[in-house]
Amino acid sequence: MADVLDLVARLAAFDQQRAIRHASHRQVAIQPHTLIMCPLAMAGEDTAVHAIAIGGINQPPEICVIGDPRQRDEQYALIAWLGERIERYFGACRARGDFPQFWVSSSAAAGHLDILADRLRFTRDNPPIKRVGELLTYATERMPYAGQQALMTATGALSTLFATGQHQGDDEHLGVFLTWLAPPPGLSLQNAIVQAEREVMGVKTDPEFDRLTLQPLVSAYDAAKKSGASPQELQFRYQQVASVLTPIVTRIYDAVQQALRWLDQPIPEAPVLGELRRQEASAFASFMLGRDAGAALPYRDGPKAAAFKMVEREHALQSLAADQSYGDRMAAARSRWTGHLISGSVVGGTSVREGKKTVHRLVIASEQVNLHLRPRDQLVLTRDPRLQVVVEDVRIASEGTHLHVRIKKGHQAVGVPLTGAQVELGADRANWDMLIRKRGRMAARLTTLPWTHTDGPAPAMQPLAVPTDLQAAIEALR
Amino acid sequence: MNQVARVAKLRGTQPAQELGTRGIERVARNPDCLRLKALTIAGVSPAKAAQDILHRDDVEAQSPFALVLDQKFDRHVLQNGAANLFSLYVEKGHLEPAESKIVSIADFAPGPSFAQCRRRESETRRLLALKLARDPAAPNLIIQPRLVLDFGGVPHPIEPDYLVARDDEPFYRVGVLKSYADRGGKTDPADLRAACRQAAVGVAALRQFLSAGGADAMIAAARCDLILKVTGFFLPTLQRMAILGEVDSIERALADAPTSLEEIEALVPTWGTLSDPAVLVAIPSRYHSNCREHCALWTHCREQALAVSSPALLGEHASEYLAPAGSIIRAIELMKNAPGISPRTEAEAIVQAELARAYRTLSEASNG
Repeated sequence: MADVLDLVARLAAFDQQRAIRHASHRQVAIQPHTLIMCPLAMAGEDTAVHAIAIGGINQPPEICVIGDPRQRDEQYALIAWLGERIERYFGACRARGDFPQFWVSSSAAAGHLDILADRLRFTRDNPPIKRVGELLTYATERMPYAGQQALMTATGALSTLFATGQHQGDDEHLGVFLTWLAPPPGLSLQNAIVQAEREVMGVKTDPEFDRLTLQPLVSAYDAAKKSGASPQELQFRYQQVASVLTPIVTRIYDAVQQALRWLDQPIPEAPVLGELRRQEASAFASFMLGRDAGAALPYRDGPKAAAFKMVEREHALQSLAADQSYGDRMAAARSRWTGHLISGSVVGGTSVREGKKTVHRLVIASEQVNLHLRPRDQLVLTRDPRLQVVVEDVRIASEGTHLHVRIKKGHQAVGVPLTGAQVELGADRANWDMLIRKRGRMAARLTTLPWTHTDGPAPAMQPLAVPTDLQAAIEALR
Repeated sequence: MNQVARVAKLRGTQPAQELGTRGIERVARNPDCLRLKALTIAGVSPAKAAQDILHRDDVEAQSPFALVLDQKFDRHVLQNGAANLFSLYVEKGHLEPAESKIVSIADFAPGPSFAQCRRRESETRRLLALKLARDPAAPNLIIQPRLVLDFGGVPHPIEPDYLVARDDEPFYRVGVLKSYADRGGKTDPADLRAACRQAAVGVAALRQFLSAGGADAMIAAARCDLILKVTGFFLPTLQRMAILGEVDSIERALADAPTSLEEIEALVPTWGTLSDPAVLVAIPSRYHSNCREHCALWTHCREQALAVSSPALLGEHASEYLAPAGSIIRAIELMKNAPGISPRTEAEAIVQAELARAYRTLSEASNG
C-alpha cells in the first residue's frame, strides 16, 4: 500500500518534469570525513580495478590509473595505493571513536567493492593486499543491514529524499538522477536523460569506448611492456591509457560530490539517525577488535555464524521499521498508510474492577480501513510510549474501524485518554540492545546444530503434540 | 512458397541470423512483446534491427575485454578434449573416471556453411539416438551439440555449450558455461536467471527431439549444470540447478501466440517486410523496465511508451495499478482532481480516490 505513496510521488515528478522531494527528514547520516570512492573496472574482469578516484567532501580527487589491471603487479600497486588511504582513514576514525563511511555512485559500484573485498582478503602471498580486502570487508559486510551508514550509494541516498518520474530501476544511473534534480535549460528532459545515459556512472566503461579507444591503448601498452620497451615509451603508453580514463573517473567523482550537495537539504535529520550512528560506531569498533585479534573473515559463514548474522539483519530491519515513524512525518504517514500506525479518536471506554486491579478499556474509532492488527497485539501511545495497550478486537464500523483495546500499563503515569481525545497507536520503540541477550540464548540453542546442518541422517518424524496454549508456546520461543 | 522462402520474405533485405539460445531466451523475458517475437521467428536480432532497420546509434555491443575473457574461459574449460570439464565432473563425483566418452560436435564439421551446419545437426541427432537406445557407446559429454528448436513454426538451430549424462542415466542434461564469478548466494541473480533460461532453451529443444521420435519428453529433465568461475581466477566451478520455472517460462513463450508462421505473417502487411522501419514499428511491442537488460530495441520502445505516456514507464506495479486510467497523463489529472475531470468508469473512480488521498498525504507530510 505504501507503494501508492511512492507512485504519486513519481507521478508528481513526471508532471513537474523534475524530481520532487518526498521526505520530511534527512534519511542518511553524512560523515564530515566521508571518503568518496569511484572505481572503474575492466569489463568482464570482476576484480580488476583499472582506475580509481578517491577524496573527501568538497575536495579534489586523488586519482590512480594503471596500464593494464590484468597484470597482477600493476593491480596490486593500485590496491596498495588505495590501502594506504583506507588504513589511514580507518585509523583516524578509530582514534576518534567514530565510524568510517564510503560513498560510491551506485549499487553497481558498491557491488564491485564487495567482490573486490571478497577476492582480496584471500590473497595468500601479499599481506598488505590481504589487509586492504579485510578493511573493505567492513563496509561491504554492513551493506545488507537495514539502516547501515558505512557504504552509501549516491543513487540510493538520493532516492530516500527525492522521487523521479521514472521507474526506480532507472534511478540507479547517477547522471540521470542528477538530470531529474536539475534539468538543463533549453533541452527537453527526455533528451537530457538520453544524453546523461551515455555517460558512464557505474564501474564499467562503455563497450564502444572500449572497442575504439581503450583496447588499442591497452594493447599497445601491453605490447610495449612485453617487448621490453624503454621506460620513456612505457611511460608514454601508460599516459595514453591514463588520459582517457582520468576524465571518466573524475566525472563520476564530481557526480557523487553533486549528489552529496543535493542531500544537504535544509530539513531536519530523521531522529532514528542518532541510533543508527551509535550502531555503526559499535559495529566498527567490534570489527576492528576482530582485526586486532586476527579473527577470520570467511567467504561462506558456518551455520552458527550465518544464524547470528541472519538474526542481526532481521533485528536491524525490525528495529528500524519500529523507530522510523517516531518524529519523522513522512515515515509516520507511510506507516499510517500501511495500517501499522493507527490514528483515531476515543469514542468510548470502561473502567472495571477485576480483583485488586481496575481494568481500563477503550474504543477507538479510526477512519483507516487497512489496519494491520489482530487480537493480542501490543501497541503504545506514540506521543508517550509508557501507555501500553493490548488489542482485544477490531471491528469494521459504518465509517472506518473500531478498535477495542485494554490498557496494559502506564495509565497512572500517562493518564487514561478521555472520550473525544485524539490518539495515535503504534509499535513500541525498538530495543536495539536486545540483541545481546538474544545472542546469548541463541548460542545456547546452537550448541547442538540441527540435523539440517550436520552429516547425520534426518531424524524420524515425531507426531507433533499441539500445545494447549499456542500463544504461550510461541512466546516461550522468543 | 516453401517455409524458408516465406521467412526470407518476412525478413526482407535483412540477412538470416542464428539467434541461438540467447535469442530464444530473450523472448521468454518479455513474452507479450510481439515485435520481439516476430523478429526472433524471422531470424533478426534486436541489435541488428535497431542498427540496420531503425538506424539507431545507441545500440550497445559487448566490450572486447569481456568478449576475450569469455572466449578464454570457454577455451580453458573445453580445450584438450574438454579435459578440465571432465576433471571437474569427476572431482564432484558426477562422472566416474571411466565415463570418459567425450565428443566435440564442433570438431566434426567446423564452419558456418549450410552443409557443415547440417552435418553437426545430424551428428548430434545420431548421438542422442544412441543414448536413447541405451547404447553403451553413447558419449558422456557432448560438446557444443547442434539442436533444432521449433519456434513459431520455424526451425531455429541452437548450440548449447554441452550435454552431459552418466552411463546409467536415461538422457542428457544441459550444461552452460559462463565466465561470471561464482559467489554462492551473492552471485548476481539476474546473471543466474539468464544462464538458467538459456539452459532451459536447450531442455525445450531436447524435449522436442524426444517427442518427435515418440519417446517420453520428460526424460529430458528440467535440470542443468552451470559452470562459473572462481572470483578473480580462471578455475571453473560446477553447480547443479533445478530449472523447472525457467523451462516452464520457455515452453510458455513457445506455446503463446503467434505459434505459427501464418500468425506472424498476419502481423505484417502483404506488401511489407520486417526490414521496413514503418512496418517494424507498427508491430505492437510491450515495453518493460527490464527490456534494457536484454533487448537492443529498448530505447526505441521507451520513446514510443513516452509518446503515449504509458504507465509502463513507471514500472510493473504502476502499469497494473494505473491500468484503469490508461496513461500517466490521465492518472496525473485524476490524482490532482483537475477541473472538469471526472472518472469514466467505476474502476477509474476507485483509482482516483486513492491517488488523490495519497497525493494529499504526500503533500502534507513532505512539506509539513
